[in-house]
Amino acid sequence: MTPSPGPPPDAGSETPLVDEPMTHQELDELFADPPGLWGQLTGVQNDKIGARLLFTGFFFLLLGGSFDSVLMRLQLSFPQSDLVSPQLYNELFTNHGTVTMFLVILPIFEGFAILLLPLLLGTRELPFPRLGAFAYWTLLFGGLLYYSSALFQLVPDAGWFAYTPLSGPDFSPDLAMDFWVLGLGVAEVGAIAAALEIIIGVLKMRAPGMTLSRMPLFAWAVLVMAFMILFAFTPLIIGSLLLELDRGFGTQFFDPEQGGSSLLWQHLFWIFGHPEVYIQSIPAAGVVSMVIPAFTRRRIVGYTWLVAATVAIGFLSFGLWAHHMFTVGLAPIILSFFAAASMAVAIPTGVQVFAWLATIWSGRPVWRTPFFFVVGFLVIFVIGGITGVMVAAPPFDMQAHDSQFVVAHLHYVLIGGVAFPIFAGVYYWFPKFSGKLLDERLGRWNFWLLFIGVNVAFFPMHIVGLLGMPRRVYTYDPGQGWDIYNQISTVGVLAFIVPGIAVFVWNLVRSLRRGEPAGPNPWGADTLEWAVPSPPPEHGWSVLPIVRSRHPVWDQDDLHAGDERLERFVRGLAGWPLRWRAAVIVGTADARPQEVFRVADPSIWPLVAGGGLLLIFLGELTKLRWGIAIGALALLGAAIAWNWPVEAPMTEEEEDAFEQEHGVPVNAGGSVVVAAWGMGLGVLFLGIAFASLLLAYFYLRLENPAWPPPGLAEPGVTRALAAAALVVASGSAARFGLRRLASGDRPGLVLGLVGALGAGGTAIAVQVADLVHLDIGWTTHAYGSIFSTLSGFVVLVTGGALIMTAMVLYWSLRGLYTARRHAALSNVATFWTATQVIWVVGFATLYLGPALT
Amino acid sequence: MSGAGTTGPDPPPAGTGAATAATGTPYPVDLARDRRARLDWLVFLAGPVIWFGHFMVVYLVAEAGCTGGGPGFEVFDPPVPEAFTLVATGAAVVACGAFAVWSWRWWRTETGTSGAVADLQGDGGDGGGRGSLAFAGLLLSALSALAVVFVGLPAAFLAPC
Amino acid sequence: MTLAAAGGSFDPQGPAARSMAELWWLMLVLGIAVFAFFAVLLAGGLLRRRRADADADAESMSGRRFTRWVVGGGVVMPVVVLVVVFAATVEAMRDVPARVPDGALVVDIVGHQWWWEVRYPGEGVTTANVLHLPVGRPVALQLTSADVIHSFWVPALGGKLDLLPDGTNTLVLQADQAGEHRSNCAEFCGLQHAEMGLLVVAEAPDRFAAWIAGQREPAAEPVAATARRGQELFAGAGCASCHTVQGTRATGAGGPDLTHVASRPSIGAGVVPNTTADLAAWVEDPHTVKEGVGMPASKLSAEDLDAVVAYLETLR
Repeated sequence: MTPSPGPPPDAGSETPLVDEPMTHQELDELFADPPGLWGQLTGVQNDKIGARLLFTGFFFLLLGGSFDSVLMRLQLSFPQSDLVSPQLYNELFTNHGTVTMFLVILPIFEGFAILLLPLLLGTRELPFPRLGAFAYWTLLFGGLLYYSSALFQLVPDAGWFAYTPLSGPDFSPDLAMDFWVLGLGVAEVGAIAAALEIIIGVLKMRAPGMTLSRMPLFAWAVLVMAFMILFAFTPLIIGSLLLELDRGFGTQFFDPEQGGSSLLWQHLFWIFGHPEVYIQSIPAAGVVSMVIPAFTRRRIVGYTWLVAATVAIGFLSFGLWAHHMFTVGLAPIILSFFAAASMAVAIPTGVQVFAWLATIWSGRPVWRTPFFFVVGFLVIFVIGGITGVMVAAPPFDMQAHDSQFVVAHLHYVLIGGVAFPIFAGVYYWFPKFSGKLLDERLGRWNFWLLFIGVNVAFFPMHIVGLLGMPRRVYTYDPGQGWDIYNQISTVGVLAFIVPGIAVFVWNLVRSLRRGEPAGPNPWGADTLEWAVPSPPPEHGWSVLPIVRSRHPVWDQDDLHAGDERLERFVRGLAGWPLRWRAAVIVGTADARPQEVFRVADPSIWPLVAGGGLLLIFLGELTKLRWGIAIGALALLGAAIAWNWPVEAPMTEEEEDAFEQEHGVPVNAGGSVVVAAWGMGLGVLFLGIAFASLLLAYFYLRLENPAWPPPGLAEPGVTRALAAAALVVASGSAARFGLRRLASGDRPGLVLGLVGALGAGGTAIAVQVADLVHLDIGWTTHAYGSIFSTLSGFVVLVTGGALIMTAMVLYWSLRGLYTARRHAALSNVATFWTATQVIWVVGFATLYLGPALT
Repeated sequence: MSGAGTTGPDPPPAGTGAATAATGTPYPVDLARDRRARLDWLVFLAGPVIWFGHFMVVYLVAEAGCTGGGPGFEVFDPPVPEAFTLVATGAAVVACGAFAVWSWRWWRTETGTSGAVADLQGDGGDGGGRGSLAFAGLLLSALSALAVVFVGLPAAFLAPC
Repeated sequence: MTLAAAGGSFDPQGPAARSMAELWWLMLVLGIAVFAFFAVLLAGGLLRRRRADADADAESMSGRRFTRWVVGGGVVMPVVVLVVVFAATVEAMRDVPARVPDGALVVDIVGHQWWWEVRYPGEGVTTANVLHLPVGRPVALQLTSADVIHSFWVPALGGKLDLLPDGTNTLVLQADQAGEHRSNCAEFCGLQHAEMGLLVVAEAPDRFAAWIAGQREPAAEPVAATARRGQELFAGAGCASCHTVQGTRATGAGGPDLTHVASRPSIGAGVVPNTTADLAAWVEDPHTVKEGVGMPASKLSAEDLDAVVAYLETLR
């Protein structure tokens, strides 16, 4: 038996506090954003970005989720009701699904993560503050672009799943679905940006000593969530690209008449769509794993098991997308694959539930509002999980699919399993960031109204669904025994859920103004964020904590005590340098300090880049294609300006002095590690996008008996071979230049970069010439559409490599890089390696694919 | 990430001041430690990765056999999907099992008896070592093996297309 | 219109639906058992009395107790339940015929925005929005779509299957007893997805044969003068460019076959009953009845309208 540490202290009594050196004030100012409107536009501080994401997500919920659902429920309370027209009803449910799935829960959890992580992990900032700001602006712009459809009476009406061909140019000819594709496209880019920020933040920016297996479970959860966003949203972006190409440029990806496939969209959409559910529920489970220990006064039981369960759910969720497609006529063996994977998720979920139950059982419950919501979560989520196993069985799903049964199931999962933990999280962490407690009595009202409301509103839908009532119908005939269930559901929404939400909003407003002061640790919780004042200072931590336990606030008498060298290091960092925003990178697994680096300052460029992205999508929406060009230029210019090298605020000698004293290298110019990770994840993003396009190619190839279609010859390979050889050469030249720099040979570096530019540029010219020569035509057949799109993707990636090469060449000529400071060069070399692989695999598929069969 | 190989000797322990970026390492930050951490990740994630690889391969082969029309797809016609599924399932289970054994050994070596109990229960242990990660890897490999069997076995009982 | 007794998938009336219902009841019983087990543990954990010095208890959990909780409850129990459910699932999937059984009646169903085209290729019958089935004989429904994706679903007879624009899905059903079932499109297909109804009539083989025989007859020649004038108007006013009436010059494709339209219980894919008044309203301007349908308003004078309606009512 392990020697047990002492019992957790009571609420707030013995919490060790950060000591406050003289520098506290200065650090606070250093990490604060500039004042005034300009500060709002350029701000990058993580508290601000996180709070904005949370607030915006909740705002979109009130705008979309609640208004829609009330109208829909009113319409369905009586058969053949004329309250809402068919058109409006279709817009309402499209909007309801779209907003909640894209614009509400996702930003709320990304907001939680960005707001909390630095405090929770014991660090001062996240790795890419500007990327965080960019993520926020794109979410906001995307959401507003999507919502602006209402101003033009062009509200999307083909469902949040936008099945082709209904969402295609033939059956949705007006611009409504373009608002859907393009508005969400902007927001999707933002989701991925925030995911990169979260991944690197969790893996590389933690307090010294916080090894992976000491990390709070919420950090594990958002780490898995962020990876899932990267792997799930990228195929969706590719799917949306193909849909918009069909709608705006006349390609034939989804037109069965011309070799396209109506099911290709469903595959690409659900490869995103099902993981999306877990992207929402995994961080929710992470919140539960934080709240339960705090309110049972008990360490979480089965920490390692919960970590494994979270990771397992993340993986399994990518193997069950087709359970949304059980009725499209898949082969039995394929049905069984997806059914098995869908059911297997119940195992890690069972582990989670029983680990929580064991914790509650062996602890001592403290009945405060967050705990109420967690208990409510358990009850509703388990019901949703059980019906989830049911619909995973294809024979039963053929009855339940697209019926009200599924509506009931998904609301149990998403309200019980996701919204309740969000409420728990808000009640739990609100005091930390506002300094005020939320009112407990209103909290009880809030909980009971919602708990009763969810069950009254959604339980009857199970029954009426099995009685035969389909989803997404604006009305139904009387006499089918459906009326009473629909009326109960409406009562549940109107009499309980709506008042419940109103109580919540009132509680927030009231408590902000005259809530009880919270103190640093009102709940007596165990994790690091409770060791700083409420609200926390801008920089979070003056002296970084040294973590020696999974429950540092419970177990450590002094949060800053530990290994003597580490103590010196964290104190040294607190007193120094104070001219720039210093943060620490740690080893991924062992959490030993690896590097001190400067996190980026506030900047206007993330906003400009977001604006440029918006302009690209707006140009496509309005079919003013010159707008796309302007937007692309703005985006490119902003990206260059954003990354423009800043003179390091400290000389190499000063860096060495710190390293001499503390043994941790310093990079005042910008981090090597973070940059390399950023590039690595960027390459991963491109790789996933590329793989999605290959999957689309494979799928179209499957469904077409003739490939290429009759009348087209197989492409000749001579020119393509030459171009591929040139691309391989240019990647090698870039890496050659990097090696020369390492041995101090600057002319060699320039030679390598010039060579890469020349060979790469020629390769593009040769390849484009061959494409023109082949003249396949992207509008006549899906073969030509995928050929052109995949080629365009590869050429675009290569163009990106050339632009980066030109930038680093420019800076090389200005003597910016030394053998020591050249992170950008290493990244460009990495990008070239990826480009080589993408080019060779991409064009090999296109040119050899038809010949191989 | 940096282009040239930087597999130099381990850096001296933090704080000795013996080597700095300027004098000791060719690159300003030593990334070798993270490279060693890759082994931790491998043991941790191998099971689920094998599961996903297995899933995609059997799915794509079945799709090629059942949906694929046109020249070149005859090679995937039944009974290829179910036969391939069963063979791939067997291979994936063996691979998951191998990683489960590896992570089990790793976990036992990394953590003494007391540490092992702490990991098993997930409380009390301070989580400082690499053992917990190996234990999580053991759990994930075991679950993956189970899930692989779940996915693959029905192929023996169902008509493929 | 006549509606089937509310029963849906709870009241299976064929082998496919029965196998699904059996799986459902099994899963429901297991699900309730799992939930009850969980609920007892949760309630116990929340409400049980704890000793005053329970802190020591709270901090230690023996290996055996831990195993009981997380391994027993979190792993073993779900695995056992899942193995049972999954085995039952595979068993139920084996019940679905892999091929069209011998002697099955083949029916082609084509989904349109927002109506059902129903063809009996072996019998040479085409109708719309009504599907007659002989009791006791397997029926192979060959499902396809003329535009977007729709889905065919009769809960009492079996599960749903989508109608895709690219390819044909085959659904094998069998009705074991006579009865009428109201069915609706089950995949969102645009504006009037909710009003894409199909009446499924399962009837004794002799009655089915009689119905087929009636449907095979060409349209009756109108006798009354009004109806005869209606027939001419029908051919002249553009109706015939979309609608077919067998045995006449009207051979349009795109809209429902109207050869025996008067014998159908409803019009507009179930949106209104097939009465004279409703028919007149529909012909005058279907968009007042069912907004957004493909058929334009007829712009006929009141007199002409009456004539066309009188003609249509002869098409029994």
